[in-house]
Amino acid sequence: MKTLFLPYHRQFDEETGTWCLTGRDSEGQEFGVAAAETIEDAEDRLRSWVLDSLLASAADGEDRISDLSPYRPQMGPAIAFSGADLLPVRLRLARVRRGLSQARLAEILGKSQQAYAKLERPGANPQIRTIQQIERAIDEELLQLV
Amino acid sequence: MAPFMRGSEIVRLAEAYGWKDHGPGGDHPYILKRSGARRPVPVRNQLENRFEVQGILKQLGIPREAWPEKVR
Repeated sequence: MKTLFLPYHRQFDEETGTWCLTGRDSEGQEFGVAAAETIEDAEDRLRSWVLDSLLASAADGEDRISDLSPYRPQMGPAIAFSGADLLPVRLRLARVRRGLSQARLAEILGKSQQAYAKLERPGANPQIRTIQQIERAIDEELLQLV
Repeated sequence: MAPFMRGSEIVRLAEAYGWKDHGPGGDHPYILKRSGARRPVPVRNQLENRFEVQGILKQLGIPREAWPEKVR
């Protein structure tokens, strides 16, 4: 499973005592922004920002995963996205591109729509067996891609 | 602690520039999209500091002269 990276720049705001992290995409454009009292919390928020943006693109059938860099930057901090982190995005993209609703794919898989919807949310951690079942249903090798 | 700015204020400003809210999504109550834009822009309910607001406004492509005074 391939890990992708989001390099970021950080600034401390004296007025509010909070950090602000701004991500950069693979072309050096600003991609995501998040602030919090600690760098760790701001990193969590920036990760969430990027995943929500990628999921929203995937809902329109657009693949923006390549906006993340395949290389860890030699200098400066970066957030790493594992294949598992990006699985919900790839799953939504594959489903939408096949013209399937969540309800229809859930029906094919023998799951409730609510149970299936959880698989397209950040932090979903499906069993390998479930992923293989989905791969058969959508005729795409999700694990090979990630 | 009171937020520096509420996300709803950003959404109101963004809508004047053709963005539409498609939220909620994940941790963000607002997901702004505009035809032809590079990417959707998620917005949290509470924004912590001016740098965060500036970053969102830049990614929305809103000109600096339209930014709220306290953000400039």
